[in-house]
Amino acid sequence: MTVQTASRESAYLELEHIVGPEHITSSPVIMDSYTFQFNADNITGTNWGPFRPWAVILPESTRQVQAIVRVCNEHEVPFKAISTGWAIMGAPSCEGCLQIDLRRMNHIIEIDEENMYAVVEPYVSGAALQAEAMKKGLNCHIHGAGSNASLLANATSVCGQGNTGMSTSHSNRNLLGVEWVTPTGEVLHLGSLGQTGRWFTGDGPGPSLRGAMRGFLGAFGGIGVFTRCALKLYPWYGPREPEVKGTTPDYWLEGLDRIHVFQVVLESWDSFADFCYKLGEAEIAMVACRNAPVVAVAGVVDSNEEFVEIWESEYFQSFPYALSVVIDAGSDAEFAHRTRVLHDIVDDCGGLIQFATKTRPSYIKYQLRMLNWLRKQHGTVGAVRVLYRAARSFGKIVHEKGMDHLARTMAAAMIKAHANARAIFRFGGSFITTFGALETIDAAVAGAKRGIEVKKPYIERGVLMDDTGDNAWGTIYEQGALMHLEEVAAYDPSDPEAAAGATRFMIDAIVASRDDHIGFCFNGFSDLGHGLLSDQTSGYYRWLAALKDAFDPAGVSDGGYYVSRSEEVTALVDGLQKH
Amino acid sequence: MNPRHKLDYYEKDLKRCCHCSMCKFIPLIQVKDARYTQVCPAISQKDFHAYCAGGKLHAALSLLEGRIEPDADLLDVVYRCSTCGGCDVSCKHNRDLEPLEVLFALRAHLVSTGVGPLPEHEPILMGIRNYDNVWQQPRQARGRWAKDAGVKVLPKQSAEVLYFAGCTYSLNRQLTGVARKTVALMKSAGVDVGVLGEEEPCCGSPAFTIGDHELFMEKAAANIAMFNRLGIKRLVTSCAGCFGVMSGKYPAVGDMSFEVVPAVSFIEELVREGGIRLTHPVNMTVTYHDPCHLGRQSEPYIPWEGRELKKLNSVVVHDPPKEYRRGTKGVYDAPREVLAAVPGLTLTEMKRIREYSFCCGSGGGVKSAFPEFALTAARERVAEAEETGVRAIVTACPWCEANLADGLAAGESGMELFDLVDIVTRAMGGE
Ligand code: SF4
Ligand code: SF4
Repeated sequence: MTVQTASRESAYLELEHIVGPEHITSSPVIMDSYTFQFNADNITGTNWGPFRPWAVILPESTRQVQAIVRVCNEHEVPFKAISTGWAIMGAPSCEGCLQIDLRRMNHIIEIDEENMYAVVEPYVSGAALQAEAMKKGLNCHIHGAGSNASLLANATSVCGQGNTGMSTSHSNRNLLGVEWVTPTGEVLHLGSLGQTGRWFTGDGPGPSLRGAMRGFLGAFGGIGVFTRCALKLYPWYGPREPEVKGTTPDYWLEGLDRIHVFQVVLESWDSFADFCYKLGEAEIAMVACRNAPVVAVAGVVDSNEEFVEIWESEYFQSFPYALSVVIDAGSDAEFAHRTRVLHDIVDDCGGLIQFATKTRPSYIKYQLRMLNWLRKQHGTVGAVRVLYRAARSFGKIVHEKGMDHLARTMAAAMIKAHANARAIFRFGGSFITTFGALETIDAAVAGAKRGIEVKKPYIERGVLMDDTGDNAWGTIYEQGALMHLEEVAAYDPSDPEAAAGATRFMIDAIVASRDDHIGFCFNGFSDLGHGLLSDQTSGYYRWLAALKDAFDPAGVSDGGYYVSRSEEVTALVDGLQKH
Repeated sequence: MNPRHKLDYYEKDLKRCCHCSMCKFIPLIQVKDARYTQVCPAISQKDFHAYCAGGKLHAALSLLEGRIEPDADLLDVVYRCSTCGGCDVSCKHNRDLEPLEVLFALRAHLVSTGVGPLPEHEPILMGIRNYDNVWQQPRQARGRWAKDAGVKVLPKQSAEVLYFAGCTYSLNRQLTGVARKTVALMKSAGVDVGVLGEEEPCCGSPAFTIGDHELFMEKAAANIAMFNRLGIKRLVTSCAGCFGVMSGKYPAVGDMSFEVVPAVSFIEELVREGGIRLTHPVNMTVTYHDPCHLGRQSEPYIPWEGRELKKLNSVVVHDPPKEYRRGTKGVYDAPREVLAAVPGLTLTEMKRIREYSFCCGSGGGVKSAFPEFALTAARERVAEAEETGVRAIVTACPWCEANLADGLAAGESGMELFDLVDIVTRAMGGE
C-alpha cells in the first residue's frame, strides 16, 4: 500500500498518547534491532530484512492494541505485531510499518487445572507456562522453536510442531478460545469465549473462525493481532518442580523416575514407518521424535570440535532411522507395562535400542544387532574402523559422562525444549527448513527421502552443511494420527553465497513437494509460496486473499508473509505460472 | 588496542547472532517460575529489543556497516546495561558466540571514536587517572582503614599474602569494616598478610567496563608489574570487581607471578583447614546473592590464538580448539560452603542463582549514569530475596552491597544485608 506520509506526524502523536512516550520510538538504533532477523539473508542476502520499521510500539493491554490498530486504519499506517519475534516473518514486509512489540503483554492469565487449559498473553514463553503448569501436574506443548518462543504466536499465527507432539498434539490444534483484534480494530472473541465468556474450546459453542484467523499455516501476523488465547494442557507425570542438575551447557532433570528415554533405531525407512505406526497404535509414548544423526550428535557434544570428531567416525550416520521415544506413566505398573510394550514393538520391527535412561543387560542383543548392521554397511574391516573411531571420539564422552547421563540429558531436552536452538544453529549460524507437511507417517517419510535428494546438490556446491543430506526432524502427533518430518538445512549466514543457496534450495524443495505429491509443504506462505503451490491446491490462495480483503479492507495489517490483496496475489501467481 | 577489544574482531559473531532472544532469559531449563524468567536487567526495564544483548549486537553491526550514526539513543542502548554477563551465559548455553565481549568492544569503539562514554562516567575515569581511585578521593585517604589494623604495609615490609581492599572497601565509610574484618580474620589465622596502604592502586576494572581500554591497559600493566615486584605469593581481594578483572582480564595483559584469590575462597580454605573456627551460632535464615564479578565474570582468562576453519561446509571450528568461557567456573561454591559451616545459619536459595544469577544492577557504570535503573534492578533482586522468606541477604561485593542497600531502603521488608565476612566474624565470636 502507499503510505500517506503527511499524516504520520499526527499518527505518531496519537500512538504516543495511547502508550506513553517511553513506549514508542522511531530511533534508528532501535529500528535496526527489529530489522535484523534470522532468515533475512534469504530475501536480501544480508542480515537485515528488506524494511526497517517506521516505529516500534509497546502496548500493555488489548485495549491499547485496539486503539493502536484504529489509529493505523485512520492514518493508513501498516502494522505488524510480534511477540518473542523470531525469524524474518515477524519483521515488516513493507515500507513505513509500525512494529507492535507485544513484550509487555507477558501474563499467564489463568491455569484451569480441572479443565486442563491455560490462558496466556503473547509474550508468555514455553518455559514460563511449562514451569507453572508442572506445578499443577500439567504440561503444555512446546513447538520446535524452543521454550524461548511465544506459545500464543505459535498457536495463533504459525504452524507450531514440537518434540512432545505424540502426546501433546501441535500448537494449532491446542488452540482453544481466542481474543483477536482484527485488522480494523474490532475485538473478536472466538470459540466458547464468544458465547460463554470461558475459554475451554476454540469452536462451538460460540463463533469458530479458526479457518479465517489462522487456517493451516497461520497468517504470520498478517491478519490483525492476537492478544490472548487459551491452550490445552496435558498430564505431567514428573515432579511438580523438577530439580535441575549440572551446569551450562550440560543440564539435566532429576527425579524423572517414570519418564525414560529410549533411542530406538530401525534398519530402513520402511521399518521406521512400520515402527511409528505401531508405536502410535499402542498409545504408550509421551514423545516420539526423529532427530537425524547430525542432530543426535549435536545433542551430546559441548563443542563443534567434538562434533566434527564424532561425525567423522561415521558411527551415527550408520544408524539414521532412529527415533527418540520417551515413555511416561502415572504408576509403576503402568510404566512397566508401557516399557514392555515398547520392547515388543522394537523387536517386532527388527529394531534395536541404542541407549536408554537405564541400560539393562538384555540390551546385549541390541548390541549384536547393531554390529551386524554395521558389518552389512561397511564390511567387517570398515565396521571395525567405524567402531574404533567412535570409541576414540564418542567413547570419550560416554566414558566421562556415562550413557545414562546422555539419556537423561536427552530426556530433559525433549521435555523442556531448552536446547533446540543449539542443535541447529551450531552448524553454521542459520538454517532453512522445508517439506514438513502434517500428513500420514508414510507421507512424512516420503518427504524425508525426497529432502535428501533435493539437498545433496547444494551440499556438493558447498553452500549447505554436509549432513549427508539427511536432517529430517519431526515427530508423530496424537498417537500416530499425523507425522511431520521437515528437512532442515544449516548454513553460514555471514556467507552470501550460502544464503542464496539456501533460498534456492527452499524453492526447489517446495516444487519437489508439490510435484511429488508429498503433502502441503509448510513453506507455503507469502505470495511466492502460494504461487509455487497453487497448481495442486485448488487455488487456495484466492480464498486466503478474499479473507484478507474482507477482514482488512484498508490493507493495513502487513500481510507480506501471509498473502497480498486479491488483485495483487492473482497477478503475481499468474506471472509465476507463466514462468 | 588489544585486537580482541576491537569491534570488527567480532564481525562474524555479529552476523551469526540469530535473534533468538535466549539472552533475555535465564537458561530455559532453569526457569522455575514465570515471575523469574528474565536474566537481563536492561531489557527487563526498557523492553525494546535493542536493549538485550542480541539487540546490542545488531546495533554494533549496524554501526560497523554505516547503517546508523552514533547518537544519544545509541549511547543509551549501550550504556544502560550493567555488563553483568547474564546474557553471555544464556547465549552460550546454545551458541558459541561472545556477546559480552561484543558489549565491551562496542563501548571501547565508542570511547575510541570520541562518542562515548557518558558525561557521568568522566569523573570515574578522571578519578582513576588522577587519584588512582574511582571516588576521586586523595590518595592518602586510601590507607586510612588499615591505620590501626596492625598489619604490615608493603612494599616497605614484605608478606606472603597481599590483601587488596579495592577502591570501595577502602574509601566507602559504610563498607571499610569489611576490609578490617577480613584482615583481622587472616591475622587470627596466622596468615602472613600485608596491605599497600595509600599506595594501593585502582584495579582499572571500571575503565575497562566503561570502555576506556587505553586507561585500563595502562593500569593493568602497571599493577601487574608492581605486584610482581612485591614478591607476593597470593593476592587476596574482597572486592568482586577487582577479583573479576584480575582473574578474567589481567592474564591477557601480562604474566603474573602470583595467584589472585577472592576473599571468600580464602576464608573457605581457612575454615576447611581449621585456620579459623566457626563456633558461635548465628541463628539466622539468609539467602546468598551471587555478584556477577565473583561469579560468571570471574571465570579465569583462557588464552587462545588461532584461526577459524570451516568443516562440513559450514561448521565453524577453531585451530587450535577454542574453549569458551561459559560462566560455569566462577566462585559459586566457596561462599555457600562457608555459610554451610556457620552454626545456626540456614541458607535458602533464590530462583536465579550461580551462573544465571540476576544482577543487582550496579555494574557497568549504570549506578552513576542511570541511578534509577540501578535501583529498579536492586528492587527486583530484593523482591526475589524477600520471596524466600529469609531474614537477610548475604553477598560479597561492595557494589552489590551498596546497591542492594539502596534497594532495601526503598522498600519495607526489613530484611538485613551482610557481607559474608560479617557473618564469619560473628561465627568466630566477634561483632
Ligand atoms: S546474542 Fe545470542 S542469545 Fe542473544 S539473540 Fe544473539 S544468538 Fe541469541
Ligand atoms: S550484560 Fe547484563 S544488562 Fe547488559 S545486555 Fe547482558 S544481561 Fe543485559
